[in-house]
Amino acid sequence: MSPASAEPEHLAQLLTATAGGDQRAFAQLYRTCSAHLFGVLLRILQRRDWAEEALQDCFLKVWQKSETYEPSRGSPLTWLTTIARYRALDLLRMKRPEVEMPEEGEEPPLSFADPTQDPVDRAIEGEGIGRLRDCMGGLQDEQRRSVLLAYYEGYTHQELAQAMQAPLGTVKSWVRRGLSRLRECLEAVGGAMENG
Amino acid sequence: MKYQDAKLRRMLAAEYVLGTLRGPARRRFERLARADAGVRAEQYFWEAYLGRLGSAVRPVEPAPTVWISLQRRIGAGNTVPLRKPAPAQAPKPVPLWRIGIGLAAAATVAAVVILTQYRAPAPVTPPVAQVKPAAPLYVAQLKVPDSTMQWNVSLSPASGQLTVTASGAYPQLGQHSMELWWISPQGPVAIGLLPVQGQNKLELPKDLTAQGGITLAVSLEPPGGSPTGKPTGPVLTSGPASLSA
Repeated sequence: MSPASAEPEHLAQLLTATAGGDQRAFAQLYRTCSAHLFGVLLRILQRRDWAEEALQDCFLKVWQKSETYEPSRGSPLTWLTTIARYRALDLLRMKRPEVEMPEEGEEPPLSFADPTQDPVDRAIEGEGIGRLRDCMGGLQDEQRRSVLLAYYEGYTHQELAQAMQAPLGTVKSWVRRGLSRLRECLEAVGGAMENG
Repeated sequence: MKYQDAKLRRMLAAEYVLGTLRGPARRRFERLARADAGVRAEQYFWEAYLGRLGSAVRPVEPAPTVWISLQRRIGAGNTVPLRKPAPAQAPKPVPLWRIGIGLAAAATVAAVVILTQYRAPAPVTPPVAQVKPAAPLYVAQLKVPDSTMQWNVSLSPASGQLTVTASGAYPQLGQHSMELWWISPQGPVAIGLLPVQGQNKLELPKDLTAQGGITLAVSLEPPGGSPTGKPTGPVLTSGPASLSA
C-alpha cells in the first residue's frame, strides 16, 4: 500500500463511487487497502485461511454498505480497519474451539505478541496518531500493554489474563482504567474530536 | 445514578471498539448504539482514535484468489439483489447478509426446481431415470500468461466428472505442482493436480453447484499440492467455465 494512493480524500472518493455500484472503484479500493487490512486480520486470526475469509467478508460488507461510512468514524482507511477487526472478532468467536491449537501442518503463528516491543513505537506517524501515542505514553505499563494486546491480537479478558499472567479481575481493571485515562487524555488535547 | 449509567455506556463503547466485549454482548451493544445517538458518538470517537493503531501493522498481500472469490460474491453483472437485500426487521449486519445470500440462492434453486417441475408435463407413469437429459457439460480454457501452458477442461457438476487435457509447457514449474481450484462463494475448493501433458480425469467434490456460474483457478503449489487445502502459492491463471453448446 503506497501512502499516496491511500490518501483519505482519494479513498473517500472511491467509497462514494463504490456506494453507487462502481465495480472499478471497488476494485481500486481493494487494491489500495487489502494488504493493510490483511495484515491486521492475520495478526488477530493467526491463520491465512481465516484471515482471507474475514477479508472477503469485510470487503463484501464494504460493497454493500459503503454508504454508511461517515467521517466521524475516522479516515476511510481507519473505518475499513474497524470493519475488518469487527469481522475478525466475530470469526474468532465462531471458530474459537480451534484457536487454542492450530492444526499440524498449518503455518506457524505469524507473530506472537512480543511484550518488549510496543507496536505504537513502530506506528507510522500520521494525522492524529501522535496524539494517541502521547496519551498511550501516559498510561501505566500494564494498562498500555493490555489495551495494545487487546487491540492488536484481539485478546479477550481471559486471554489477556493468560498472556500477562495476572488475575482476570486485575486485567479487566487495567483495561478499563487504561481506556478511561486514554479517553480523558484524548479529550483534553483533542477538543475538536469531542462528540458531546 | 445517571452519571453511573453514562460512565457504563462509555466503557461499553470503548470495550466494544477495543474488542474485549465479546459474543452476545457485542450484539447487545450494537442494538444499544442503534437506538442511542450518544452511545454511537462514543463508539465513533473510539473507532476514530483506536483505528489509527492499525497503521502500525505490517501490510501483507492476500492471495489473489480472495479477489476472485469476492468478485463472484458481489455477482459481477448481477449486483442488484446483493446490494439491496430484503430489509429484515432488525438488521444484524454480519450474519444476516451471509444468511441472506444463502437464502437468496436457495430461493433461486427452489424456483428453478418448481419451474422445472411445472414445465414438465404431468407424467402418467413415474418418470424413469433414462428419460433425464444428459447432465449439462461445461468447458473452460485456462492459459498461463507468458507461457504456452494451457488446459482444456470439460466438466459436469451433475455427474461429478472433470476431464482436463494439457498442452504446451511451463518451464518455470521446477519441482512444483499446479493445482486446480473451483472458486465457490465460500472460497476456493481443491479439485486436484493438473497434468503438464496428456489427459487426466478428476472427480469433482459433491457439493459444488454451477448456480451463478463457474470460475476455475490454477495455483502453483509445493510438490503434491497445497498442504493446507487452500491455495498457498501464486495464482497462475483463472477463468470461467461456460455451458457447452
